[in-house]
Amino acid sequence: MSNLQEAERSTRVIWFSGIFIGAFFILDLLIPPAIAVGTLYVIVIFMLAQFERYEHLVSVACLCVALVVLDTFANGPEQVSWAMLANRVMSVLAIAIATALLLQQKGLREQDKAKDILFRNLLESAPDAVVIVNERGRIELANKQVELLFGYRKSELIGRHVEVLIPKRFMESHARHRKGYFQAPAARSMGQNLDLYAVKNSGDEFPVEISLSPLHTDQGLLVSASIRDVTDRREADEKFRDLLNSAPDAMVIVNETGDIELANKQTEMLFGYDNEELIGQKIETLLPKRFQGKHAGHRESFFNAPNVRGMGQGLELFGQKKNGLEFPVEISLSPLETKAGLLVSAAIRDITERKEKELELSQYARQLESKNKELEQFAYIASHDLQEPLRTVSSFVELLIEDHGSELDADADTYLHYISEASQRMTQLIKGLLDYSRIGSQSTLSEVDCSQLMMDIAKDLDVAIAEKCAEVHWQDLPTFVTYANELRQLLQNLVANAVKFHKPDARPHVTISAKRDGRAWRFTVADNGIGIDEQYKERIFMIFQRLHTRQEYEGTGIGLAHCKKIVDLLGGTIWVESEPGQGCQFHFTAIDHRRDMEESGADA
Amino acid sequence: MQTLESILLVDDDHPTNFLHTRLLKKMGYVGDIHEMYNAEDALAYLRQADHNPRAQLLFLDLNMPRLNGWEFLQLYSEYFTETARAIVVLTTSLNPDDEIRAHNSPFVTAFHRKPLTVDMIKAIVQSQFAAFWNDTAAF
Repeated sequence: MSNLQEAERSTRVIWFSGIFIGAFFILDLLIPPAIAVGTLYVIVIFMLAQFERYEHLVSVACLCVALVVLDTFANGPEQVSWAMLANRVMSVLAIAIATALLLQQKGLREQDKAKDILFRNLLESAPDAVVIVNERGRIELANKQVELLFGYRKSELIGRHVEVLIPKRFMESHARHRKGYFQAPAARSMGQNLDLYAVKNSGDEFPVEISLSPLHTDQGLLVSASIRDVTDRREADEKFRDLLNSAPDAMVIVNETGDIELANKQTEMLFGYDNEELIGQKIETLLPKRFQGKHAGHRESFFNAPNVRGMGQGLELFGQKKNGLEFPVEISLSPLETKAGLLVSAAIRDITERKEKELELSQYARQLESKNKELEQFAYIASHDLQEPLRTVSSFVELLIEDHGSELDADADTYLHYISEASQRMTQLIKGLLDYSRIGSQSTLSEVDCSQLMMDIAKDLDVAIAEKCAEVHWQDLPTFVTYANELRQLLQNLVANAVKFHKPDARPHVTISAKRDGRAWRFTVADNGIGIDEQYKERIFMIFQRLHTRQEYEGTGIGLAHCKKIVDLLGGTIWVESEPGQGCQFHFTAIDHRRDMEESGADA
Repeated sequence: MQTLESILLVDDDHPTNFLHTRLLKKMGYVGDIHEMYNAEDALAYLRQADHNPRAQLLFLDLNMPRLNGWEFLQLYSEYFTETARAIVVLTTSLNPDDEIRAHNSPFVTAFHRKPLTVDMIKAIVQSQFAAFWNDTAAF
């Protein structure tokens, strides 16, 4: 209603009241004062109340009382009788009582109205969609959120069955549940552990969460249902579940009391339980009996100091399947802060295969070790047993030459020469093989001064160097921790090779240098010798591979294979750079074990 | 069948070449024998077209410095046909792969383990050449 109309009506009511009061006053004057005409004023009071002019009620009542009194004495005080006074008092009382009653009623009505407004505001301000339903299932009230959520206008919903908001397939059961609720009403959430759905005006379904509470009213028992759209949360839940299921490990989420809250597909597969069998069970269900007791304590201490870590470091952990089968596992734990309190997610990995592999590997390693020992043993025995007959051959060739040399012709000399040469070669080969097989078997780390080492090598190779008039130089060689004997053999072999494979017309020049290369030292032995053809750069490091006939250069074909094996031991690589006729540079790397040695020194 | 007039021995081991030469001579062979101590020299020798007579039989060692027997055959196949001459592969190796490989090579006439024997030579010569030896020769 507009304010203008309101004001107009208000003025009209005042005017009418005035006219009535005037009329009643004149009537009172005309009628003998013993008659209680003053009671007619009550009509005006009621009229004002009817039109809600409460603000004028008291003043009009006072005016009426004043007029009643005035009328009493209008014919002169001498006319006043007891009967007349009684009537007048009754009129005044009637006016006063009517006024008081009307004012009280007004107060009550205003209180009711305020309550009603408060209730509606409360309803509207609720974050959730709220519908209030009566015992017959009809919607009595709904808030704005219902309009927004379901796409109905309030006016469309009021009086309709609440089941319009529910997918058809649930309608029947819902009606049953509703009846049940009215039998035993209590504030609770609807359909615990069930996925609830609602349907919009458009027919779209969406997941909801509903809480119910009874409302006792004059019209009987009502139920208020607050409905929350949980599409986002359900999606987040699903994403979380997908994430869990996509994890390669079995993932179990456990609460502080040790109950399983969530478990992924891998858990079902690994342990052989269905998801329903797991949820709500104690996590200890998944452990062998003998660990169950201790586990609860461990669980408590984890919750007291939660952090991301592996479980039971250094311990062998086991899981137990539904069928009782035990298997080794590896578990990592991480705390999960949620609204529902602290949870723990445990990632469980079946390491049966790995354990088997480890076992296999360690067996293999043991076998290899014993095979290696056998082989080394074999090399020793073979070398001994092979050298004996060989020594016999060369000894008796010498005897033959010594005792019968003069009687033999040139052919016989040639034969004997071949025999002794072949047996010498055999001796060298056996010795070479033996040395080769022994590399690394008795090696120890020590600090090596490479300059000193080179001086020793030069002394050892003195004869060969002098014979070829070779020049061997080195400078700025490091002192580092490595296998001293092996490094010495390696450098000696390379230097000896460099001197040996010189150009016929040039003096051998050999330079040894070293450069830091990360954790290793990179050595280079450079010469001005005959060089090596590109195609043989790999092959020279293989055993018994030679690039020259024995007539060209002596040798067994073991030297560089020996070098390669030593470099393997030194933790490096060996390679050669060369142009035929331009000399070659042998490079190799060797790890500096200083740190390792210091560590083992600290341990000791 | 042609008459065997020239033989090439390729082996880096002097005593082996010596033994083989001696054996051939003892069997009554009177033609040329050339000893080569590495595969490169052997190939160079074969590629000199003016040898008269040209080697019709080649004994080839497998395990030699630088070019081995197989690498020699690879290069050889670039210059000669399969029928240019009989090639007998000789080796001390016990590796069965070598035998299979020899069997599969169209250039290899025969494969034998050292040492070369009278019977081996007889078999080769009988299948490939008019006999060169004097049956009455003592060996």
